[in-house]
Amino acid sequence: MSAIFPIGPFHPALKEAARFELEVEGEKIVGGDFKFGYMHRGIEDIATTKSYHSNIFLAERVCGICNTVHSTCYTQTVEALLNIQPPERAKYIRTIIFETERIQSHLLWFGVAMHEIGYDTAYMYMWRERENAVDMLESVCGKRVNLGINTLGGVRRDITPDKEVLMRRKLDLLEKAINKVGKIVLEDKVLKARVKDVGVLTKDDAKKLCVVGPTARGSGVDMDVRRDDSYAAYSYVDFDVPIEENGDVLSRTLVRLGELFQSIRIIRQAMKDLPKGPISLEELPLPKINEAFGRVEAHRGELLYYIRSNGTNRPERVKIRTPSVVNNNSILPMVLGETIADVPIIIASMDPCFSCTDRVTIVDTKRNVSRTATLSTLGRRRGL
Amino acid sequence: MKRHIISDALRSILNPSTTKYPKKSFIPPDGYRGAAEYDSEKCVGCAACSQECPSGAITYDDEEKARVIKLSYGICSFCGRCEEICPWDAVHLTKRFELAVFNRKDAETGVDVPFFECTECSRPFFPSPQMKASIEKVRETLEKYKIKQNELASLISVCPTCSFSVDKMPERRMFLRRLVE
Amino acid sequence: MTSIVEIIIGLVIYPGLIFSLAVGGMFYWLYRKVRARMQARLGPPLYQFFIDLVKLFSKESIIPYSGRGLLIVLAPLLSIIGLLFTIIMLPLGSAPLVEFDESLIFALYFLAFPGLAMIMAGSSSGSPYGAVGSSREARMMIAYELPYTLSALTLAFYLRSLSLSAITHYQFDHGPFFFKYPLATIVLILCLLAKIGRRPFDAPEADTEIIGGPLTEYSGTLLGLFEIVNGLKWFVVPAFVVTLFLGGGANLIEFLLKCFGLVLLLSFIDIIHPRFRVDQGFGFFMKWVLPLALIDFVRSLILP
Repeated sequence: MSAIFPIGPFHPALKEAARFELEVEGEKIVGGDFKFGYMHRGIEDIATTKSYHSNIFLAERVCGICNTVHSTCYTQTVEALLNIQPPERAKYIRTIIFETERIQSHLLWFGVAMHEIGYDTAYMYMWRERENAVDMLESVCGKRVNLGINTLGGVRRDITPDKEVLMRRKLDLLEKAINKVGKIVLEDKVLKARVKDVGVLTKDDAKKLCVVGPTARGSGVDMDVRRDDSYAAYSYVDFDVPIEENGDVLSRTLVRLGELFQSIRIIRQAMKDLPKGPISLEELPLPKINEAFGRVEAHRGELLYYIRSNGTNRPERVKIRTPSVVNNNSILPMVLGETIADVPIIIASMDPCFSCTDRVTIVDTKRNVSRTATLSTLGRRRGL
Repeated sequence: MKRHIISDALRSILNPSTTKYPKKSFIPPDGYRGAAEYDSEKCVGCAACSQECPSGAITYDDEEKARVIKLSYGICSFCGRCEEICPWDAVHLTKRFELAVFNRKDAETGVDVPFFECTECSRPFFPSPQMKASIEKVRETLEKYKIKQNELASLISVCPTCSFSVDKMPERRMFLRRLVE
Repeated sequence: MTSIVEIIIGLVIYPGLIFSLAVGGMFYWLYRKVRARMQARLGPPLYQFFIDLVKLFSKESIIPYSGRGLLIVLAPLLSIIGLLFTIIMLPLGSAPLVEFDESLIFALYFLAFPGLAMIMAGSSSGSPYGAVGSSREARMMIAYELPYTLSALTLAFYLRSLSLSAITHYQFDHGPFFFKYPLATIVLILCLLAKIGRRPFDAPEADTEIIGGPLTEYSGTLLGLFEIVNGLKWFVVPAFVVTLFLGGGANLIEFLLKCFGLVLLLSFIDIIHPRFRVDQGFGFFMKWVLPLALIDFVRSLILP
């Protein structure tokens, strides 16, 4: 007979509040139910009461770890709405800051994953190395979180030559540190016994549930918005996309490790090729009645923004679809048949960001109407 | 098998990465976005910062003798838009980040901009530094239209109530005709 | 035979509650400080354990509605009694306070009380986390009690005596038993890690999986009692190993120094390992630790 084991709103394994009710028999899991909605703050509603420029700072505050991702995606969508292009130097600076934040986010994830399996020593070391990436962000943008680097038509702060010297020095330290992280993860037998063949998501399941990001790439699904649909300066730099076939927690870890190395490669190329010029546009046109989509490759997958304007200086509708909404559906197939002891590391392996997850949809049952958006309407978006 | 962790552990014994924070202070790097401070010499009281603030932390209130501009640190999001938008370079973000207080009234900053009084009815109506700055900026326009300085000063140092009185109307019409010709 | 008054003073002051708590608190601080320094942090000050106790005793203790109040209160008291009765039987440098011929069996028996108390605390607390924690503790106890008892009985079979003072007197004359039975020493040190509840065998109290395990619903004074149990465990359990295999001590200072060294070794093993899952820990004890204990046990039976 099964009992209900709650991993409830308050739990040390979760970074933000969500509720998992697992049906267990002994220590084996036979079913589950997941409830979200504890982190809803009404951001999409507030966004219709503020001007386009103020909404950049509002979009940043959707999530703490992936804040530049939201601000970049929003800015690119509004620039598509107004039909303007930022200068080339701004695109390169956006790419550099974006990839530095990806390094910071993946190192944070490594630390959290080590903490979930009880390896506190590795957790402390990885967060110590993460400080180098955050120092790079603090020297350019002025803050460690909620960076505020984007503005409509470019970026707000420039990378001056002395900041470039500091960033190169920290990049060298980061490369040595990430090599050591790889060795700690790959050469430890006790750790491998905890993560190998645990929480398997097959390729068919991954395609059926439409997961994105490292969760999908760890199961063999080859998708990456930076390569398939380039934005900012990604079409000018050279990088690979790491894919693994197995689908367990170890392959997702290896995918993130590979992405760390590729991020350092992208930053080095972008800093070498940084063109000279202005960092933002002087004049901005007034918005007309229009709508636009925009998507970027966030640290956890593909992030989508949809903005509709009605000719005033405030947007009429802002819709945010984050990768964590999609990835959270894949927890149930991964967790069936495993023990309670493995649930925290499985949840952590798809890197959930519950702050990003809660957007409310209103289902109109009176009129019984459903509308779908086809791929061709999604294709008609940016003038790129 | 574990040689990396063991060598790291032994190397970190003498190299801690944390400090005893309140006893040993921390200075952020240059360009850090901390608490905002107003420069009362330069502020003219236009309240452009209040229009632009994304979170609504800056408010202004027209009291009897002065315009009071208030910035509340509890609502401020430290984004730096006020510093970017100010045309007179009067707001700056300092490096101060230790802003905890016991009383909510202590977590505010602001500037009081004194009002200029009408020369006819002595009622204050306009922030006086903005008056001086506006006169200064208009001077360049005057060079173009060759209007004399003291004539203009006497024209605009009258409050809206007094300047729209019937006996001032012909004088203003003459003035405007000169601008058009 | 010592008198009742001496026994009571021994239980409470020396080498009982106050002395063991002071020394155990220092050993617990040593573990936390070494762990912090190896993780590139600064670590707590010396008095951290004691002010934690003061804080916990000044807070309110809430007993859940679906829990059994009597068993919840009895569990830490049982642990403390078991540990205190063990320490008055150990010779700390000179003769023990209470000395009789079967003290080894009594010591093994009393040192099983903390594990049993944890199981009792988990099952009677009325929360699913406590239930899972107590089942894990039961499983780990089955795994580590057997090799632990076997390696302690190795000495009994060699010496043909069950008295702790006989063991220490033998080691004064012939050197510590560590050189004669090294495998049994290693087995006992590994079982120590599971007994105190440190990595890699701390699955019953895993804080990222089952919040606090058996101790989830404890707060205030009752949690303070469990912290006292923790402090006592850090002194009494290494002291038992030092008495059996590392030669006891000619005087108190030497005894404490040997305990200090053992605590450093345990901290080091704890720092560099992640946590085993409970079935992996059980398999480890059955597959690797039990055969080593059996080898030395059979050796002590056969060889003179």
